[in-house]
Amino acid sequence: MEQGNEYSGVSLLIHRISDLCFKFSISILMPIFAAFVTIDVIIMRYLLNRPFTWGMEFTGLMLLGLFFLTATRCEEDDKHIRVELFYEKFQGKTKRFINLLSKVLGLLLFGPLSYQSFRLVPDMYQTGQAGIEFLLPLWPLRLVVALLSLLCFLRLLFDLVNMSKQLIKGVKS
Amino acid sequence: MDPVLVGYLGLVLMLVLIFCGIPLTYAMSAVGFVGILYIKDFNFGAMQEAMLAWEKGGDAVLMCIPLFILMGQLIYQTKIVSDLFSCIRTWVGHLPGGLAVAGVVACAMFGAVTGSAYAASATMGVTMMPELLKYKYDTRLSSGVIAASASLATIIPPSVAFIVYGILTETSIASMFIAGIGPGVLLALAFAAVIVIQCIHNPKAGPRGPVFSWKERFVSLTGMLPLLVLFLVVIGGIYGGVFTPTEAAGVGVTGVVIIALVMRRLTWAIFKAAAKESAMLATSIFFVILAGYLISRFLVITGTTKHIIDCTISVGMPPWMLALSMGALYLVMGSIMDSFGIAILTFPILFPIAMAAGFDAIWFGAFATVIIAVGLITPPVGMNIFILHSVVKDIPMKDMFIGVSWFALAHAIVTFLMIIFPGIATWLPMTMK
Repeated sequence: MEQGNEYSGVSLLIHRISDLCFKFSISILMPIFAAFVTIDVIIMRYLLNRPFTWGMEFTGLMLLGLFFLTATRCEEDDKHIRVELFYEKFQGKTKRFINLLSKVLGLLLFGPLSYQSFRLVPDMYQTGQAGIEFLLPLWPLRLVVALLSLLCFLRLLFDLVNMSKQLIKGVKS
Repeated sequence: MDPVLVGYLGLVLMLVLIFCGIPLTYAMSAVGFVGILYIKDFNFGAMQEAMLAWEKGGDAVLMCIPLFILMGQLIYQTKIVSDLFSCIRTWVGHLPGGLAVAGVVACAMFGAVTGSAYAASATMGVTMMPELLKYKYDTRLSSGVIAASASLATIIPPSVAFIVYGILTETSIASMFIAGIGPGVLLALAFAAVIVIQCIHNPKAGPRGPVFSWKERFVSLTGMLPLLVLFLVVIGGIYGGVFTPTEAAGVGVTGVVIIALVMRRLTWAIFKAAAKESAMLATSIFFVILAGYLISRFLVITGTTKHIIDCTISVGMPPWMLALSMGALYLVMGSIMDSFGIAILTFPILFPIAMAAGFDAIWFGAFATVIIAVGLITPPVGMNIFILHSVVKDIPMKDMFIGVSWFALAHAIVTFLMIIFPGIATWLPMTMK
């Protein structure tokens, strides 16, 4: 795993975008998300008895944004859930190979996810797909999901290239 | 190749990858995607990923995960429950083993408001251990109490494990939360009984603590009153049908923010730290859930799920033996895997079997979660022990594992009781509004 200060070139650019997304996620989206649920539930529903009809849908879309804005940072910080019993015992080339394989398998998640999300954007735009109660068009969010999946895909790809080079050269990470 | 065989090969490959240390998300999603790609085609597989991410990412049910984690993180980061142990010990600390019993109650309450066994283990290790050692409590007993009681956070609501179970199996999360109360309380009582028995057998293991006046006892209650009220509002609201779990989580976050502000313990930096941890953990959980759905679809498409169910049913195993077998499987897995990983990995496969065998969905969720929690204290993984050891380095890990063994036995007995008396988990949910 590359460290933040070891990124360079396009890899550094990906890191900066990911960092920006993450900061937006925790400093803006998360407080708004928590505050909106509270306002919708406590004030509008229980105090005023006039809940936002589009409230749950809107919160759901925020949540989706939150997950994808944070995804690349989770990858960079290796915040994965894994079985560490044997993994911790691996050393040298074996461990590097496992890490490399993780990146390859990660590409199989974010690659098709990004590809298909991009493919769905024009359809959603042309059909004017909107929420059931939340009447704004949904294609921009689908585009954001596609772009953020692509960002994660690129992160994995650059890590993979970097790790492959290290594995070939036999340089200890 | 026969699709069912493809399914089984996929399962074996997935397990190999997982045990090699590949992240659960990638191991499960890659096998699911490649499997679907083999059976159908690329576009179908890609569409499954995109559809699941879109539908599940914005699912109202999933909203309570980041909110409950944020609530727990805020409580943990603001340290507004650091006085919990001091408060409870004024009531029972003077009894033989009383400080340790106070530790069980404090851990249970901490778990109830944070939902994190790891946070409970770390926080209670720092706050409780010096007190227990000061009054010359046996080190094995002391470490055993903290590690075992911290695992209660996995069972006592609001528990993330129950939310994940509810999402993956489409079982009511509210009912799951309430189902956790019975086994949680029973386990706390069992742990207290272990302490009392040990202290009767060996009075030096848990000497009497200081005696406090009634005035001091009641004054100490004021410190934990706000959180007690918050817990009652959140869980009571769910039980009474006033809130859905998501609404209750929103109320919980607001309540913690207000309490922390009143106590002047909340700063923007602390909020950001809590939000950071919550966002990362919730995102990790979301992608593992997504991968869990993908592997489930692959197994359904190949007919493997149906084949596993048919095979299990055709064996003609009585339900109690099936429950014991599943319990044994969870116990073995718990000794080598993280509890959350086991949940994601096994629920999509074992839940249909449990339903086909006629088990109650709520009982099965509670039963599985309770036995998975044992894994937090059993070697070689035993995460609670590792975390406790990281904050209390003076006690050897071997002593900690010996100390926790009696509590693990009590845990196993409670799990066994849940098979004999399913009402331990199902009675309270049945009385819900």
